Amino acid sequence: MIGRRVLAGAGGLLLPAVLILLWFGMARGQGVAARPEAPLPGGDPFTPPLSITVEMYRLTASGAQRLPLTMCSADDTAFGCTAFCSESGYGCPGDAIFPYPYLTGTITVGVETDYLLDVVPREMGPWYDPVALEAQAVAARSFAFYYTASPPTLLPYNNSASFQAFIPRTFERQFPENYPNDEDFQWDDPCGAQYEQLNSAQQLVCDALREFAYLSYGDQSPLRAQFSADAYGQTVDGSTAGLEAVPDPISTACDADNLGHGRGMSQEGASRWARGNECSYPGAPVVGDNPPGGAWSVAWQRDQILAHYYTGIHLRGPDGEQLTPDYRWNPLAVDWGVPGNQPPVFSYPLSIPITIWVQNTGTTTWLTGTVGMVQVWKPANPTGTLTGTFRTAITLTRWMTPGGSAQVPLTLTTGMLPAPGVYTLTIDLAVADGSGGWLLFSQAEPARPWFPLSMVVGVDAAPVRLYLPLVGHDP
Amino acid sequence: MDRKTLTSLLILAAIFVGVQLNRTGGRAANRDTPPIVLLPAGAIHTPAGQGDAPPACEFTPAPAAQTRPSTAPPALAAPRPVYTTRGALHIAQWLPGNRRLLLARDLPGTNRQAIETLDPFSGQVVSYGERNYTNSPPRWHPGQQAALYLDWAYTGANGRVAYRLLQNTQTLIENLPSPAFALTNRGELLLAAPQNPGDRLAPRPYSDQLLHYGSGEALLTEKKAACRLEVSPQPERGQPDGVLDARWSPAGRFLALITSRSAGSGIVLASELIVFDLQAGTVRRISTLPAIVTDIAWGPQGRWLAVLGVERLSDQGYERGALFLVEAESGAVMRAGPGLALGGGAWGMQLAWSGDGNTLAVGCPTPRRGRVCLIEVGP
Repeated sequence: MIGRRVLAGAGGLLLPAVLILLWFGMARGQGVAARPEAPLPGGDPFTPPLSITVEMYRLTASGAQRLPLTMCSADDTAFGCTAFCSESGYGCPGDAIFPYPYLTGTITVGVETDYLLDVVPREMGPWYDPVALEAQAVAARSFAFYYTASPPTLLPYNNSASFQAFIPRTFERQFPENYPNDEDFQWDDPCGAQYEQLNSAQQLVCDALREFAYLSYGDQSPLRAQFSADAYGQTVDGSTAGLEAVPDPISTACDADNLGHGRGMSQEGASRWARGNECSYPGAPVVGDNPPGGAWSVAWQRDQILAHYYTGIHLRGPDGEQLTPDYRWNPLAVDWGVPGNQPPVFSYPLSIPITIWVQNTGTTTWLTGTVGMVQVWKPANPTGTLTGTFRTAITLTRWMTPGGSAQVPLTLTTGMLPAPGVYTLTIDLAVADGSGGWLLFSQAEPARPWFPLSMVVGVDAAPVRLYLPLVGHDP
Repeated sequence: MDRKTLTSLLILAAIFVGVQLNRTGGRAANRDTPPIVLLPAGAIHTPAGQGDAPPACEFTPAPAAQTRPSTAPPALAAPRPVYTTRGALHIAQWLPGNRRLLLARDLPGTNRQAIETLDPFSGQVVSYGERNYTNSPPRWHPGQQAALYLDWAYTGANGRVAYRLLQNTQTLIENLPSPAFALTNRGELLLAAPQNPGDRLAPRPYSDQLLHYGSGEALLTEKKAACRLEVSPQPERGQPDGVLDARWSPAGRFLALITSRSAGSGIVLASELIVFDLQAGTVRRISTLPAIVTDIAWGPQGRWLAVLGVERLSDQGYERGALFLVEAESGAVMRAGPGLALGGGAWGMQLAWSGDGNTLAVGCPTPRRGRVCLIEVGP
């Protein structure tokens, strides 16, 4: 179901945008100069660390430090010190026991080659969508970086769920287990030369970590990217930068629930967005009185998921370089205005009113009248008279802060097309360039493209249906 | 013989390897040891999705089942610390006579535990043995006046281990593959090899029924019949919820279970108390407790259940719990008064109610010390 609900975003209660239909001249094909990256406010730029120091403790079943505080020792087999532990009822099933693999209670380990390999699968099961696992990897990396960059007045970073549950040998534990003392494996860097010998769950973890990125807020400083298991309909305000409450309309059916603190990224929500489905994984059981759920009208990539759950952030690369543009949007849902929210019949010529639930996932407030929504039609296979590009646009007349969202009505107009045929329909937002032209968000910063909503559409004199799926293509 | 049965027999055969006891018709007996019943593996917990699932248990209300009128909960005094150690303390049970507690005490700096009894009124400690670290609770055998407990040792490559069952320092059975054991109120020692390592047994008092519980469903068996307790109507994330703990009321009328929602990753996000009344045929989910329940203990009359729940995490990140009383028949929940912070240790071994009903022993560790507190229970 596409929600007609209007949820409170970071900018307050969001009102439907007023539609102003106008033709305008786009800055077609002229290219757009990349927006310069904002200079750092001062001090040294952040350098992502290669290693992290962690105090290691025995943990309770919920991942809390166990009292009395007991640091892991060399041959420790308690939960928290090893994933192959000697405690039933804890997260170490199986009949093999391997002790804590380090000699001291405080350890320094490689972030990419050790720490995150154990954290990512512990925090998010590998049965979720691989794209969601990629988002989880970025969030976990950012969270760890935040503490390496933080002043020492903070509590020492430890392996408990108060930070991130880091339980050694969790990566090896992924079923079917590769045993830690197996000489066939080079555990110093398992995602490297030994990748092909890993099992599928382990390869998923490696794949999720491969494209390095971390989240920053403001400057290059890493974000304290909290995340939790699930948030029903809306995340919880974290009262800190980047952790504002955002609507999560895909999480109101199937297995959606409130589980965990609800701040930042919803792990199950991330998998729903990645799948374009209200169930977080195939066959997920329906919780309580939830409707059964089904296909959602949009699906997202990693960066879209992160920009949705974390407000006003940027993704950054290994040298702290900015990877995402300032102007970004996410379609939360497309309401086709028909029962069952099925894609409408597209005939020629026809005007079809739809509503797109738009979220400002960028770092810039959209001022009134400066941002528009554009529909661009291009023949999928240009031949004969089926050439050219055809656009219309509306202007959003309500300002929208980062994290905010609003329902935007849009009329799809096939009447401007020269003839029936198969078209690629792209819906994007655009920002006024100050000189009468408009810059598509997807092209505003060519080095850092963003995701429009794209689909292949059949338009015929006789009614035909849209071709599914409706997914955001890679920019 | 189908494959499942054959597998069960093979597992059962493995149990017998190393058994050095005289056996008579499936029972092992020795004058110096309790009678041991080796359970056939076929009656052991069937993991979800493997083989034919047993039917759901159906409880028919007994004609005589009548609801007793609610009474005021017993009065609980403030917790009083009575014993402090450097290592963590794990409370297994009160001994008969209500003067001593059976404990496992972590030996600091090692992966070892001491099995001890503590007289919390005098501070006297008696040692019964040591073992490698595990959360398998030791049990006291009244007839033998001895502590029974499991120990384990590495046997070779790839983390393989073998368990042995000890009575004090004497090995009763060795070379056991991930066993479960329990004592009946008849003094029999039940021993099994669950298909899911780590699963446990809970014999119903004054009955031949036996509960198998752990990482999947909970099965109630009696002779060759088995049924499945509906404890997991909403399995999460592709894996069934687990049953962390199960305790029968002293007369066997009620069964209290703690089920977990572990997100499949092994970190418990929530746990729930469920109380089955096998006499009235009712199932009650106690939803007014904290989101995480860690320990339960029955009062001697089976009327009240003491529950330890996690109320909050401290600023430092460890669990701070509170004690609750749950009326078994009504499900009413009463919070014990404020006092010392309780809990925070290993789940399932932080709470015990004395047989005379007069004293609750509860773990009240500090960040640096293991500690046991007593709570006097009034009428």
